[in-house]
Amino acid sequence: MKVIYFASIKETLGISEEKIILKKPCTILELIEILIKKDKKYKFVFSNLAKVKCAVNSSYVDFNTVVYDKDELAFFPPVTGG
Amino acid sequence: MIKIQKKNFDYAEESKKFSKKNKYSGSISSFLGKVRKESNNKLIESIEIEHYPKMTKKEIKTIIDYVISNWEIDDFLIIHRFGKIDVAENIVLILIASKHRKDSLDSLEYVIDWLKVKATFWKKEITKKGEFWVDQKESDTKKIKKL
Repeated sequence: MKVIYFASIKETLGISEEKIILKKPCTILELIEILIKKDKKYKFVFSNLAKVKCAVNSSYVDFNTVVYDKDELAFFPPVTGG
Repeated sequence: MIKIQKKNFDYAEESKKFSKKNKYSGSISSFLGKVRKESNNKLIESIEIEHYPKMTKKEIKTIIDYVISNWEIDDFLIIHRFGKIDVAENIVLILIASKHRKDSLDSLEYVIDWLKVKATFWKKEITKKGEFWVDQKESDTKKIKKL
């Protein structure tokens, strides 16, 4: 699946997107657990989920949402436009 | 109409065109958001706005759909910029036309309040002391919970 990152999360991770192969559907929380094991940068980003929002296929969802390999998942901080 | 754009816009020109387009509306309310020169005791040189193109317009459209269902409005224009924006330049413009003032005033407040917590823009302040991502204000999210 395509995972994309924005703003401070993108800067901390040093990447704007990556491909993750999902062998089977899982919740976003489960995916975060997988990411955290990859690198300590992810652990830092996901250490406080109150500061992280997520969207699947460009719609807001919560962390218990099940994602599939075909999905586009985005992680970003709470928005600050206007 | 919703416009997400990099280039600056002319507030007077946009207002004039909108007013002309909606010449029979009894009320036009407007909000213009600009880059302040100071934030948290830091002098701002410019800001950088990043956004999620696939999602930004969709989220603003959802806000507008709610407005159309709940207030009697004749027309609207939302312009939101992204990229590098210098101090004193425009960031966002919201214009709403309606028959009566209450509809344009109340719906305008709704749009700006929700835009601040849902539209996928992120602001970074560029100062002489460094660059800082802006945190979402608790007061903005609290206000939304009351609506």
